[in-house]
Amino acid sequence: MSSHRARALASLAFAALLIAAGCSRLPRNSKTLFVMVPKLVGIPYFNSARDGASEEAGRLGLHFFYTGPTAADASLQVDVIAGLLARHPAVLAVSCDDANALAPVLRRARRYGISVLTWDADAQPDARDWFVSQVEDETLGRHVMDVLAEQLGGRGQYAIITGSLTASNLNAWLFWMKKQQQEKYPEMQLVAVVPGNDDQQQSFVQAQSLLQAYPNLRGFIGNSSAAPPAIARAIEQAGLSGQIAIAGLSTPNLMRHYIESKTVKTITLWDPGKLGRLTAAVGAMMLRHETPRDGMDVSGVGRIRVLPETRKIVMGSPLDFTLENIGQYWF
Amino acid sequence: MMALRRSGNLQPGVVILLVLFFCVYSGYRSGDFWSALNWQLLAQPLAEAGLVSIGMMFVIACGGIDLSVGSIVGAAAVTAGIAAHHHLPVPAIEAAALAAGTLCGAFNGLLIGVFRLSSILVTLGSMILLSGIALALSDGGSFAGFPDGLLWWNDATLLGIPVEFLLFLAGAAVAAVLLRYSLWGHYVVAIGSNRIAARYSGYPVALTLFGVYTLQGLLCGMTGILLVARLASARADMGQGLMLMAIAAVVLGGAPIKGGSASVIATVVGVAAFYIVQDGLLLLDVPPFVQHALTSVLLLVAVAAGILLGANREERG
Repeated sequence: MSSHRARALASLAFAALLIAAGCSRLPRNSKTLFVMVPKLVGIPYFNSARDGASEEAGRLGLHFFYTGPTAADASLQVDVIAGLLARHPAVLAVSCDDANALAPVLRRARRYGISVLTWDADAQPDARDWFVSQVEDETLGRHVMDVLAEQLGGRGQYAIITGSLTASNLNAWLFWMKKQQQEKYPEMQLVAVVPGNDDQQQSFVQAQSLLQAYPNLRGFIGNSSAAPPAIARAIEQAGLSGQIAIAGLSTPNLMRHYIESKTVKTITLWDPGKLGRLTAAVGAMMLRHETPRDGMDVSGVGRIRVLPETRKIVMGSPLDFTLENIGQYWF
Repeated sequence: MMALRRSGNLQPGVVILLVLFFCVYSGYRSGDFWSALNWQLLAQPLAEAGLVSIGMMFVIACGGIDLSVGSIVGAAAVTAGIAAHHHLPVPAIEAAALAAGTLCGAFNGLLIGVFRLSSILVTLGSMILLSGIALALSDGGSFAGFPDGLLWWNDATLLGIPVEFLLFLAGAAVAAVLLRYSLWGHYVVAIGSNRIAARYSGYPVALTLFGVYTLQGLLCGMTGILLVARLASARADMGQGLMLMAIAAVVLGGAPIKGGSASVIATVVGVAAFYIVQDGLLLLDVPPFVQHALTSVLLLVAVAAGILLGANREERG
């Protein structure tokens, strides 16, 4: 047993030596450190936001660091951010999984003198300096419902597959979609709102069971970028392509196949790369102690709207991807 | 009982050694690793996972498993949210959350202890049931607007140490005394070693198991309160990651997953190791997915080393 022990200790020591040999000290760059935290890492939407932000941050001389939880879970995200506070970044930009749950840790960050931005999904307003928003919730929610209603001729049953039932921004869009339907399309009927948890496989299973449960279903809304491609796949597999309308929010890359196969006519989003770019640009303004101005022209983004009373920066209006224009977008 | 008296579990030692290596390395590479702020921030989630891990240690020691801990934490948090929503005073909010957690645990304990159902089936069921109830009660959203008295748990420190962490240490001390010196602790380990023998020896198996799961529920209630205080909000899905973390922490401490042995110190070492390594990897700019992989490498290396060093080798039971 003692020879076992010696052997184990020797191999441990050797491993430690190997690790130590291969590294140097990390530079401390907290004065220009811009940390970006998505709701979760590893999905194309946040990857393209990261790429846009990273490019813009590099151009503006910020040190860019991107990390986040590996699942969309508010408490995991809070733990990641708490860990990052020890690095004293100059700017912290967070896409919040839950507006309430993220607020204390962001307030704490502000107490430590860190400039806090929220982007993509907001926190409680007093927990951040600015919210960099892609498009107003109301505009987007109503627009997606219009897209679906146009295809359905304003009548018939439809179902919604959302991300997680607790994501505040998804729930805000959901609210406006339902409101638009109640106000403008009274002959449409919402049969179910189910979570796909931002996961294509789960959304696919949900779409399949909805198709079985509601034989008269005429339309779907996918309210999270993973949902519309999963819905389209379920519809193609069921041989119902062209008979059931799909609207919702997803990226051109995820939807390219289904738009080209004409299962999906229109899919809506904004450019997350642009959103990342704008977030980095606002971060750089924070470092220079500048205040964003309404109508100012941000390079690579365009004219932005600034709402000083709510401390909100709005990037623009929603973008529809169709067979005609999808070739121009790659994210 | 044999297992408890044996001092043969070397796995915590291996884990401590590995983590010390890691700390030296992280401290060398990142100037922020040894900052007081880093350890303060690290201590809070560690305390929450630690309380659940201690409960899980008893559960695993008696030969069971509790998959429902995350859902119990969520249910307790949502209960606190509802209590706060009705403007109850802080002690009442805390009592409500503790009662909710304890009740959920007692429900598991009743089915597993008295009705002798399999722990994995019962807690799988209550995991889904409780999170469903909590989701329904909260309508999928989060409760906010908790009184400052409750948020005190997040903000208060004693000599620079977060009170959350002190509460965890106190809980661990009580658990150690219970495990070592109480008759109940003796029964727990005996049941885990050989349930049939324990039954024939006239040990109160049903009552002991009921106590184990009820205690786990109480600890989940406490964790729920701490999480609510730290996030200033309550959500049904709050404790989601805690179940796997707690099981992994107990195993990392060297406890046999089949039960019959337990050590509070080993469990504390296990849970601390996970949080220290996760935090360090974050400070070292390690990408999130690689962090996961490296953290599980820690678990595998420690278990392998424990077996190599003879700790976990012997079959018990």
